[in-house]
Amino acid sequence: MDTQSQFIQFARKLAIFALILVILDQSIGIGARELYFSQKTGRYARLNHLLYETEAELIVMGSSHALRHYDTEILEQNLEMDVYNGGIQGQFILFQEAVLEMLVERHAPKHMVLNVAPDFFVYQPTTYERLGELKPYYYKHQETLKPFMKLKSVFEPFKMFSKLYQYNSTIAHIFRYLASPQPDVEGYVKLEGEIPPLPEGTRIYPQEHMDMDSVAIAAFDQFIKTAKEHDINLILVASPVVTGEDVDALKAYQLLKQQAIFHGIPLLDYSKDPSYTHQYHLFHDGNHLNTEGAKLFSVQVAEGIKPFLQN
Amino acid sequence: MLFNSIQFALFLPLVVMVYYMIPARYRYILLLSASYYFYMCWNPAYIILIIASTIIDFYAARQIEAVADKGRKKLFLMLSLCSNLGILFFFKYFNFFSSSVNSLFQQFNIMAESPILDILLPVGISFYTFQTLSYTIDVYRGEKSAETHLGYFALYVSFFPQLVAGPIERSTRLMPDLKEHKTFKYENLSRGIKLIIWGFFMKLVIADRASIYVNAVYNNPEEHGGITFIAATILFAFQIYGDFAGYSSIAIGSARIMGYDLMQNFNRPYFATNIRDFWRRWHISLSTWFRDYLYIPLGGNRVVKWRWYMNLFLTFLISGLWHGANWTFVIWGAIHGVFLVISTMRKEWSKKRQPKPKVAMYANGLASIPGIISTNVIVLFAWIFFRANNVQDAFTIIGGIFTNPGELFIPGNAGVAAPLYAGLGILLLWTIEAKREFYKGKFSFFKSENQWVRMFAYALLVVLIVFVGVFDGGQFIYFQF
Repeated sequence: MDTQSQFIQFARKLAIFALILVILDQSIGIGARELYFSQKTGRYARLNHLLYETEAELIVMGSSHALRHYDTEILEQNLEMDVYNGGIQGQFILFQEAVLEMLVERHAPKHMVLNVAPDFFVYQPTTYERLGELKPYYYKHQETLKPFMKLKSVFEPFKMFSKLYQYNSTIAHIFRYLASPQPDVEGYVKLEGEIPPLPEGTRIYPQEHMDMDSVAIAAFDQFIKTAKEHDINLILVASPVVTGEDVDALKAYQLLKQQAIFHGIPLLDYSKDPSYTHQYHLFHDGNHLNTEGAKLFSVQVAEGIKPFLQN
Repeated sequence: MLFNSIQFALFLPLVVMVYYMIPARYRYILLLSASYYFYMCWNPAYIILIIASTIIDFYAARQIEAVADKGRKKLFLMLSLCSNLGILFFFKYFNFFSSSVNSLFQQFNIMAESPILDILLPVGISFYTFQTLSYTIDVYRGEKSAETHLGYFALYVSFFPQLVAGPIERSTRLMPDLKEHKTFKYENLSRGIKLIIWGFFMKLVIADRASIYVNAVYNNPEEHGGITFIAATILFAFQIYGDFAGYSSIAIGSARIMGYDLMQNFNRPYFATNIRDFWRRWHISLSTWFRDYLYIPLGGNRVVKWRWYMNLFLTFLISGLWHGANWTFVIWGAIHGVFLVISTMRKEWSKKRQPKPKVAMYANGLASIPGIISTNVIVLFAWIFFRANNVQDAFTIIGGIFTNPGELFIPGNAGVAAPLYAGLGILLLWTIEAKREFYKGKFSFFKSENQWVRMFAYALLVVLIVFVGVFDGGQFIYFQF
């Protein structure tokens, strides 16, 4: 066979292979999407509920601190309004900002609590990799999410042509929560167990030099602006830290507080609240309150934010 | 530039397209430029090391051939050996050597301190150094004539598919292949693409998934028990296999697309029936390099028995050090060396006994199972040292396996996905390899006579890669070697 015939043979088979791939990608991708959005419990089901169903007047946002520290039943009882806990474990301000942008396309809650952490502005490469969890929402919120996906990689929007890629790595989670449902109360997920006392001098937020993430700072700024544009009454809350360490010394936290003052957003700081310092029976681990701690904290937060919910 | 990056997905087709469009006599220029660009994507400055190695070895080999005096030939060989091994020692082993000396000094309360350098390890330095060294040694031995074309020689040293993680090619094989006029052949492209797809499956679905669980356990050995260590070590065995064999497969496939035939680097190593067999199947290009350029020059098996066993052991000890500048790798090499010596002694002893009658192929497959299991136990034991962050961690893990079984660590919530996907990939890989090992020539999806079956099989493999593969920039482990 001459070179030209070989090339034609190759081109023909490559085209057929590409066609088979596109058909499989689209059909299995659609199936994966159906599965993804039909979840009843678990991390993604809660996010889906937040984005497409909840009509709550108060929404709590943030990472695992938000998810584990804000008992929605207690908040609802004390504040007499519908509350939904939209905390997502392991996701920080970049992700939260993307979620807010998607949320306000459908529903702007009257009030929002954003749980902030002293290291909110510290650069962490994983923050960018974890933006991959936004992929399943790309088909509905393409324009909103494109800038966030580009933060992960400039090629990310091109990869999104594949429907399968949009649901990459989701299938195990779906079956995991199907086999063993994770109950939640309006988004709040309890955390049982107590932490043993920590050795003297332990720090949850080490003070060594840490790089600031200018993108995270800009995202925080945009988060506040978006909330204001949609008349969302935003309140920042910092959760208790078991060691009661001096988090104010962290440059990232100082900057966060300055930003809050600059934008006129209230920040309720419980990070050094003596009710929690070295109270190990209230903590599941060094970073998270357990059920008992969350109850106490939720009552305290409800009281704390009440004055800001008047209008 | 990583193979598992969009950059490479654009780079390779572009190079291939231009390659087939330009006249054959200019192709080495294209491939050399592409190879240098490929390497410079990591660290542009380190290209100087490759160029220096290339020029020194090109010159040394020409001189070895040109001079008649044996002493002067040896002098030029020493120039090549010292410069290449010197670069390797400085960048890879200096800090290891220095910190080991410091530890020794501390043992004897000596206050002297050897310096620790703040340098980055050049990617793939052990691979291209060994490749170019084999060339000058071959010329010195008279097994190959010195290359007269600097461009082709430079391409041999830096050919991008195998530049940073092998296979370590011999000049006698690759150099003539690089000079050959290649025409566009459907078979080459088809085979090359299939190898690349298979490589990505091994890397993204098996290696990168397994690494998530393995890292969680091996980076926190004090938090886990024996059952978890065994699970993590089994996963690591497939992680390193998937990583390295996956890289080799992509490398061989990329070269094949352009018509070049790189050597096979892995051949179902976990079906080896003894340690000797394992090293005939694992990192073949390296084990044959050590055989030809270290073991045989040491005397190989043409010496008295104790020297023969010592040669085997030394070869593996040095092979361990080649893998990394850490005592964990040295111990790993030593373990393989010891078991190889034992296996060789056993073979020698069994030669004296009556040969066994031949059995049917199927029965032979079954008969090999005890050997496969015992070999894997040894290999897994050695992997503990290979993966552990330090020798102390390795002993903590071994201690845990024997004294504290504990409970199997199953990551909570979303974390369960990593071992689950890796397990799925390993099951598929193992089934395919078991079939190829024991039932050769029987029905195969990937090698079916029917082109539609073949096409669907590879399309489904791509689907699996896209659906469950790790796409967040996992690194190839062997880059550090």
